Amino acid sequence: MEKAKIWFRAFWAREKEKLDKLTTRQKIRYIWDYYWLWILGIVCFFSIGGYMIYRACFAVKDYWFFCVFANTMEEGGNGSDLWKDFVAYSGYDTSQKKVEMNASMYFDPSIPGGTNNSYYQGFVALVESGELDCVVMNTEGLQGVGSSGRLLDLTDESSQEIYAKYKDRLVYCEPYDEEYEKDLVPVGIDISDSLLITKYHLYEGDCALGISAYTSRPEGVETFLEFLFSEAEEVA
Amino acid sequence: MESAEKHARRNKIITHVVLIIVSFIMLVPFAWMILTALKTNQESISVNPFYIFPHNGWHWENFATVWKSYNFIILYKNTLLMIFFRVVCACLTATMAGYAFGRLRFPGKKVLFTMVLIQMMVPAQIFIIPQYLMVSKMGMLNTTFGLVWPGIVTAFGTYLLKTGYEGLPMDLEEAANIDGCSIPGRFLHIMMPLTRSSMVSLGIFTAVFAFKDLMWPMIVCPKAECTTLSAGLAKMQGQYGSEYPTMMAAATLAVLPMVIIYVIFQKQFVEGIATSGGKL
Repeated sequence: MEKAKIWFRAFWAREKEKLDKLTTRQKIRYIWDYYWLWILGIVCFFSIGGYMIYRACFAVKDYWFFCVFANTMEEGGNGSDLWKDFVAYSGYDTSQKKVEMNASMYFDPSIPGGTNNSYYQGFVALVESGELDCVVMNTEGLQGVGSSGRLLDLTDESSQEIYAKYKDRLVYCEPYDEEYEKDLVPVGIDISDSLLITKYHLYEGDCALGISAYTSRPEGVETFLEFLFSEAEEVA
Repeated sequence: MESAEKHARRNKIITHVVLIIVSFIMLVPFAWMILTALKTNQESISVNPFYIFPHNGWHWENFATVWKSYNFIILYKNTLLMIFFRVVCACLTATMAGYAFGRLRFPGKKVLFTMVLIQMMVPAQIFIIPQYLMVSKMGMLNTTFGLVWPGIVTAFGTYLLKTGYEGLPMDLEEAANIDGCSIPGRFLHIMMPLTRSSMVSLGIFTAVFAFKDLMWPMIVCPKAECTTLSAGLAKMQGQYGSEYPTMMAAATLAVLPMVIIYVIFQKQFVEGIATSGGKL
């Protein structure tokens, strides 16, 4: 450290001596010619660093609710009618936290080779990062996802309220772990008669909702389910 | 004498014929893509092998359909920005790290380089979750920065550049050292310009891999206005899954930037592949 200080003092004295002999124009020219790369490096460093700090401090990072609608050809992502209606219904303030709906994933673990694609790998990354709250897809596909162990067993303590409320709509699958105490595990809720089909036409036939095994926001899923069924009741 | 000439001529003809056949085989998928893009849906799913060219006219409107459905200008912009920043960052960090590992002596060098090598030995998918969480916690989802993030440093590039620096004669650096050139000066003015071919190889590899990357853009940039061509094309595949002409029109539009980049940097591409001995 001391050595670096001595080197820097000597360097500074040398450069100062040179600069003192030059006019302002020549000084600028000299500095640019010899130090342009350092200047650019420092500018880039501070610009990128500043941008990172700004985003880390002010960007909306947390979620109210994060859902994937798999295998749908309809518009169900952020900014869609479904998204707007749900935000209005739930009263979530999106300037504080995000409501994220991703309708750009296509995979079906219930068919052979249905997991050998980037969509499924991306979905797994979202689940295992703990960011994703739930997934909606065709019932058979959801059972496939459930069998991979990535959906919450709805009898779990964290989803007790959902389980009690929708126990007549449960979708079961075979457990991921063969030594699991149950033969069939409730991993999904049948939402075939919900607004997703009757109003937004995201799916044809049947569809079900599964809660991510690593979610920390089951209350967001509960609100979403209430939204799907309460309006359905009103429509009926 | 005449027989030897005949033999050489025959060999040349055989070589040319084989190369022409192989080139033709290589071009078939591209030709099929472009021709399918100009057919009707019915023609595209016809099993008749003689239906190579469109029979009911050339349907250029397929291109107009996908162009209108997706904002290709945005997709091109996002993809090119991602490629540009990834190439710049990868070359910059890999050349500095490569020089340090290849030329400098410092404590823990072997351990650090082993850690770099370990990164190359494990599947890239392992890093997806921590990288996604980093980008998410930094509030960088749906930004160009988020797209560039995993490409800022590259273990492969560090290794490639390290071998490049090790291959250079020591005399050059020693001569600069005797003349009083500092370590940054030696790196910047003497050594780095000499590893140009390795850096070009790295740039090409990075550009191609960035262009092909599907999973990362798909999870960090799901919004249509900040996604890339590969993820956009995948979305179209979901939307136009059974409409092959539209899909192929989108695929043709998607490969255009790489074709243009290849045409401009053709010489460097060939040199780069020859230098690294790699396969794209």
